[in-house]
Amino acid sequence: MKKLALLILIFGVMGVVPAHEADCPYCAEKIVQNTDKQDNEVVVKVGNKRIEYRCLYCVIKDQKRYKGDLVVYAPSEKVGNPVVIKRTGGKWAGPEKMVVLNVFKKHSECAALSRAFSTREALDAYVKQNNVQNSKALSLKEFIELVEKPVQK
Amino acid sequence: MLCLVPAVGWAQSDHTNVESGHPLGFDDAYSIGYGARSFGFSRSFGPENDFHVGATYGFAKNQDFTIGYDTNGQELEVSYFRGLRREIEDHSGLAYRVSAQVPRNGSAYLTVRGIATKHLGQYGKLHLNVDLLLASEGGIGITLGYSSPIGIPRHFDTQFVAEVNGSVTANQRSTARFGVGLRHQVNPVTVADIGIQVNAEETRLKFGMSVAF
Amino acid sequence: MNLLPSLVLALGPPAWLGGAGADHLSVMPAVHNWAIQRLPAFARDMHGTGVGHAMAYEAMARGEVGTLESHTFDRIDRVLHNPPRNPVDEASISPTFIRQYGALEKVFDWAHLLHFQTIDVLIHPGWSQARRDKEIEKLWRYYQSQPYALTGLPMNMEFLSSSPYDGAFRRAYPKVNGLFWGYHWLQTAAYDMLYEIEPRDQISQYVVLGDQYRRVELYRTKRDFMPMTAEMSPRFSKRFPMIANAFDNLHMLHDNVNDILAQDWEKSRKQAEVKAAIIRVLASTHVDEEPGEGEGLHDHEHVPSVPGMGKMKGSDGDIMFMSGMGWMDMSRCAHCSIPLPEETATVSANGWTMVVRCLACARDMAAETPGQAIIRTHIQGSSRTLVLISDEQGNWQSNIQGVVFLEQAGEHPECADWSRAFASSESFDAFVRNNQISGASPLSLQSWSERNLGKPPTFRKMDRPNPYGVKD
Repeated sequence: MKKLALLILIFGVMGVVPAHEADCPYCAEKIVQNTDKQDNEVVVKVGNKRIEYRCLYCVIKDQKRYKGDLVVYAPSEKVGNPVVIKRTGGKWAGPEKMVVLNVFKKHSECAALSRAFSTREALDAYVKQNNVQNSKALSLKEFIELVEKPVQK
Repeated sequence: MLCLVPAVGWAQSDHTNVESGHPLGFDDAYSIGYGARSFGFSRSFGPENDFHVGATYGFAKNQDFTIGYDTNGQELEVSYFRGLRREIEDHSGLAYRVSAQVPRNGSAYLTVRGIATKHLGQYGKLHLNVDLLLASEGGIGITLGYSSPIGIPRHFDTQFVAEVNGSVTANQRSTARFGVGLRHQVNPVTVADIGIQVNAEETRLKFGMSVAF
Repeated sequence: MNLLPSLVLALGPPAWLGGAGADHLSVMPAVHNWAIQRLPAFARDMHGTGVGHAMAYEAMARGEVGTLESHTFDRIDRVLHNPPRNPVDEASISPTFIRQYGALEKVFDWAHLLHFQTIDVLIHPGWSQARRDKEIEKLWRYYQSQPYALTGLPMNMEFLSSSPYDGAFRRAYPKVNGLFWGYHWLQTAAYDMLYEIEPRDQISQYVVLGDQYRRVELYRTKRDFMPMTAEMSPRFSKRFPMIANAFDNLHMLHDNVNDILAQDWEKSRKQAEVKAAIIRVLASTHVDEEPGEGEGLHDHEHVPSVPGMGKMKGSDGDIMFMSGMGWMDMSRCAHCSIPLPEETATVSANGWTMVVRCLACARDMAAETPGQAIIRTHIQGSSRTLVLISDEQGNWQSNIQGVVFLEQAGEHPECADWSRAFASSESFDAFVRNNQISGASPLSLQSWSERNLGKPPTFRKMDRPNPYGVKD
């Protein structure tokens, strides 16, 4: 029953993704649209708003813009089945088995290389299929710590 | 009378546009704007207390007309101002003013004032006023005025003014005067002014206000 | 090929351009003058724009362009954070510039007076909208009575920005150019904040717009193009296209002048180029010309559904590139891409303003955008324009207490029928009864706020390259 409620919530929200293929509020690159084979749009639900981002990294970098709680629907390895992570009372939490890939060098690559996966196996498959170099599976906590570190140029 | 040639120019409602009577005795080379109307009054405290009221109308480009009244001398005052040239590159702005004062008792005065304005440094301006008293007695007066905004680059609503004046009449009576004052923009249409003028005989404190309407 | 100089030479300069008089002009005497002071935060920001313009021009006239992005920017920024309570005399802040470019100052001053007085009319309390409209038309005639007036015809913006030196200023001094375009954002966004809005409903909007201006718009360094009046204030521009055009022409003149002053030329050449730039946009240069006609300098074609906006770079009929939004069809709803009806709503968020067909489109478009938002529309059952303001979480507040909504989601070609607002339940009931709508119940503001219909299936994104080649 719990699972069904979650599915309704997820599909409910994913059914109202933003209409406009706008630029990412953080990196200002174009939002990569969902395709039949892969979801790409990261949706942040804040109150009644649903804001699109290009990748999970951009969401975490831009999170201070928002007061209150956030729900992030991060595209996963399965179409229509995002990884749902939440910021509640300032603390982030996500599914226990989720992992994050975050190896992009330039924002032009962030949509492909900063992504959430429901399992480690799914990340490995994605890395293999897309020939991603230097990949590392990060827990949500590790990922957030990494993103919040000042960028070293 | 402190000033040999008290040219009248009563009611500029922009604090940067210096006018005779508010609070000192010199003009800059710029008229009130075309179509502008303003009203002003000035109160001065000295051995004789004066109260002037007047209204100015910019009836044409670079030209204005003023009508005023001085309660102390019971004089009706009228004045015509004409700007001839704005300050361009290194050339001074030029203007003249013709004023007539008609006391209730006694002879009328007619004054012609030549005015030159030129920047001194980035923001300060020098104003040379040369007055010729044509009637009822002859005379000449020269005023070197100075104005400069106070507070730039943070504040833009106050102007410092100072003057040195010397004059001599046909009967060899001569006077010298020094004055300092401030003009402050109170709101978009109102300028308040305060100043002090000193000569060998008296010290005069002045307050005034000009309002556009 | 650049035709600008030869065209201007052929025109010959109007006599006043070489005149020596100061020619100071006054506002049209009126009871509404300086009503802007009733919105103190807005008034101060507007006065601050005058300081910003003057300080930058003074630095350029004094040969201090090297300080623009550092010392001069800091000085301006300090004033913009603590703007003056009263209007400033720009000539007293930029005396060197005025001595060199006195004719230009006449054009700027005269247009700025129109800016301020139009705003005053829209803020002055107690007048009907019809009286305000009439007074603005009178102001326009007063403005046009002087030779310094800019044309109210739409001008081809691509043509006006086709000189070899175009863009020099924004490339070399992006921070100060950002300030200029920030001022122009404020000046153009203000009109829809005020137009057809009762004075009591104006202040609350400026809380949102003022914050956007001070925090974001002043510091945008990579806009594609200057803010256009009809983009920022589509409702006002539709009613007064000539004023919208004149302001755009004014802002283009600012851009041209900036580009000229940024050149490493002799002063005399800069002065000649500035005069040429003035002549291009003067009303006297375009006498007896008509909107929608002409070529080159005299091309007054406009975006067909937006008579208050000249032809933009790359525009094709109603399709044009809007900075921050991409390619848009101006005749269609920005959210659902269905042609706009006569009665529309606007939604403002994140610095842009878009025209949409209905309140559902407005709400859902705002919901996709970070930050606060404003919706403005006429409403059934009230002569007062509905002003909805949302917080950063999409919770809306209304200027009309008791507002209710009809939203029986159907297909978007009919969305202007099934999504509407009403001043009261009674007006809702009357509408539902008169239009024989079955099963409709009024939605409260909160219930309406929580809705989201998502991506309209009718939405069509235009994927074309940015004609300005700028990436924000």
